[in-house]
Amino acid sequence: MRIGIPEELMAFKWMQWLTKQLSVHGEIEWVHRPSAANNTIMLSEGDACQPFKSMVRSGVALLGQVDVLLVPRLVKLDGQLMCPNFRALPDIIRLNINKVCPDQKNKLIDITIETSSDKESKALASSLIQKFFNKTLQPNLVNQEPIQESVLSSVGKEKFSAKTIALLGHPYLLENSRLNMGIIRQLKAYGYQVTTPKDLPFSDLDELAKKSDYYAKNNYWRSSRETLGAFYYYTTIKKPAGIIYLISFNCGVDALMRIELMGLHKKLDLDMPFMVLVGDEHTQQEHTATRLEAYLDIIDGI
Amino acid sequence: MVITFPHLGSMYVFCKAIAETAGIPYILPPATSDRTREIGEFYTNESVCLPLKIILGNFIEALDAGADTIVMVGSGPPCRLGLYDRTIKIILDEQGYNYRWLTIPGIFNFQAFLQNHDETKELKKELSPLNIAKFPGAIFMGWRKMRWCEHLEQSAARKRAVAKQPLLVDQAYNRGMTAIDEAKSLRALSKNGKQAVREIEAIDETGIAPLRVVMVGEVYTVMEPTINLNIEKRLGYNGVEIHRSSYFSTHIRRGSRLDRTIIRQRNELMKLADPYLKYDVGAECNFSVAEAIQAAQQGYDGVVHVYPFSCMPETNAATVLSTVSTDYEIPVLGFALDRKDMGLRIDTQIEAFVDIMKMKKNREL
Repeated sequence: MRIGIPEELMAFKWMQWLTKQLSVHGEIEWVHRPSAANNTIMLSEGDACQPFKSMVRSGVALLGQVDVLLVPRLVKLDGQLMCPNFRALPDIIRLNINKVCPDQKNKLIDITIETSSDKESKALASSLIQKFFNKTLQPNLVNQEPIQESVLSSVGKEKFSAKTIALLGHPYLLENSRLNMGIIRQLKAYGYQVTTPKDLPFSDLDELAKKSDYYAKNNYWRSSRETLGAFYYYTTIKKPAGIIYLISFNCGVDALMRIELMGLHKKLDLDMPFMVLVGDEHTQQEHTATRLEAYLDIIDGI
Repeated sequence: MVITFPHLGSMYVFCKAIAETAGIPYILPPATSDRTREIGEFYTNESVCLPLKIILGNFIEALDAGADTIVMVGSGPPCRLGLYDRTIKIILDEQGYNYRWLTIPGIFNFQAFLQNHDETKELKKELSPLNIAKFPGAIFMGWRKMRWCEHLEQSAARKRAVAKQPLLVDQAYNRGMTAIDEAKSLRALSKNGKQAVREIEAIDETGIAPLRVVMVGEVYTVMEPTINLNIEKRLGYNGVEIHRSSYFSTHIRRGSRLDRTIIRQRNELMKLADPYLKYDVGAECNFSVAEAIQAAQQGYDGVVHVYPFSCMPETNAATVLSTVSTDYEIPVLGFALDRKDMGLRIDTQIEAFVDIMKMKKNREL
C-alpha cells in the first residue's frame, strides 16, 4: 500500500512514531514528496504561511502517486495546542482535490489527533491499524521510542564547541532546506556547527517554558512552548555561540513569540547574539547570506 | 486609579458608562488614527494582526495621556487574542511604562475568574465602598447604553442604504451616539435612544430597494470601523444594507454561556459549515463560512468577509469562502486588512462588488 503524507508533517516526532507503528503491521511504501510539481490552479491560499501552502500543494500533488493520502488534523500534541491552520489542513486539501481532481477525493483520509498521553497515542494508532489492515495493534511490536533523559539538570556539564549556532523554529522549518532558506548549509559552509532542539525532550522544554507562564496566562501553543523552552535551554543550560530564530513570513504563532523572545533577550541582558530570520517563497539567497554574514561577524567579535 | 480601555466598536461606551456611573476616573484613548496604527506597527512586526497593533497603539496613547490602569477583554485559544495581554505587557514593560492591568473575562471559566481575582486584589484598595456599591448599577447602565448604540448602528446601516442623502444618516448617527453616551440616567438614556432612532428613521428615502449583504469575519475587524476603514458606511453609500451578527453584546452573551439561544445558534452554524470544515478551526472561522452559507440560503445579495492580514483562522475561512461563493452562487468580497490599506482601494473593490451584485440581481429578474 502506498500512503502519502506531506513531508512537512513528517518533521513531527509523533508522526514519525505513527508511521513506524503502521509499517510494523503491514507493507507500506511511504511517499512524502511529489515526484513532479503540481501546477494545477488551485484555490487561493490567501495569506497562509509558506509551510502551510507547501503542505496543501504537496498533499494534492501526491494524490496521483499513492493509494491513500493520510492528512492528520493536528489539534493537540503532548497536551498542547497546535497552530489553528493544522485544524483546517485536511479540509483545505479536500476542497482543492474537489476542484482539481474530484475523481480521487476518496483517497484522502483525515484523522483528528489530540494526544496528551501515550495511551491516547496508542489508541489512535490502533484505530488506524484496524482501518488500514484490519488488524489489532500488537503491543510487543510497538516500536517504543527510547526514553529520553531529562536535560534540565545538565547545567554546565556539557558544552557546545566554540563555533556552534542554535537554530529555533518549527520542526518542519528546521528539517526542510527549502523552507529554512538553506541556512544550515550556509552556516556549515562558514565553518559553524548547528544544533536544534529536535533531540531535546518536549517535556523538558515545556517545563522551561513555564518560567514565563503566569497562572492564568500560559502560552497555549506547542511550538511556542518548544521554542521558548529551547531559548531558555540555550541561554541557561547549554550555551552555543549564538541563537537564530527561523520564522516563516505570516506565521501567526511565531509573530508573537518573536516579540516575547526579543523582550526576554533584553530583559535577561544576554551577551549571546540573537537574530530573527524571516523568510518565505520570495526570499532570495542573498537576503539570507547578507544577514548571516553580519550576524557571524558579531559572533566572531569583528 | 485612572482606567483606560481600547476602542472596539461601541465597547468604549460600555466601559465609559461603567466608569462614570461607578465614579472611577478614566481616560478614553484618542480616536484610532494613522498615528495609532504606526505606534502599534513600530513595536510589533509585519505578521502581527492589526487588532493587536491598534490596541497597543490605543494603550500607549492613553498611558501617555495619564492613564495608569488598562482594562482589556480576555480570550483563549486558539485565537491570538488570548495572548494579546501577555504580548502587550512585554512591550509596555520594555518601554518603561508603569501600569496595572484588569481583564474582562472573554470566556467565563475558572482560570478567567482566578486572573480577575488576582488583578482586582490591589485595584480594589483604590476604590471606595461607594464605587463598589455602584458597580452592579454601573454595569447595567453600561449594558443598556451599549445595546442602544448597537440598535442605532443597525438603524443607521438600514437607512444609509436607501437615504436620499446618506451623509444625513451619519450626522444623525453621530448625534445619537453622543446623546446616548451623555445620558446620565436610564430614563434619559431611553429618551435619547428613541429620539436618535426616530431621527434616523425620518430621513427621506430614494424608494430604491437596497442590496442586502452580510458582513462576516474576525470579531474586531467587523466591529471596529477604524480597523475596517468604515466599510459599512462605504457600502451604505453604494446602496448596500449591511447585516452582521457580530456585536460586543453578542460576544459577552456567548462567552458567559448563560444565553442558551446563542449557544444553540452557534451549534447550528457549526453544522452548517460542516461540509466544508469538519472541525472547529477557532475564533470565527467556521461561523464566517456558516453565515455566508446562511446568507445565500436566505436570499442575500452578497457577503463581505473582513479580517486582519495574517489572521490564521480567517485565512482558512477566506479559502473556503471562495468555494462557498461558487457552490451557492453568491458573490463574496474578501478584505485582508492591515495598516497600509487605503480607503481608495476599498472603494474600488466595493464599486465592482456592487456592480456584480446588481448584474446578478438583474439577470435573476
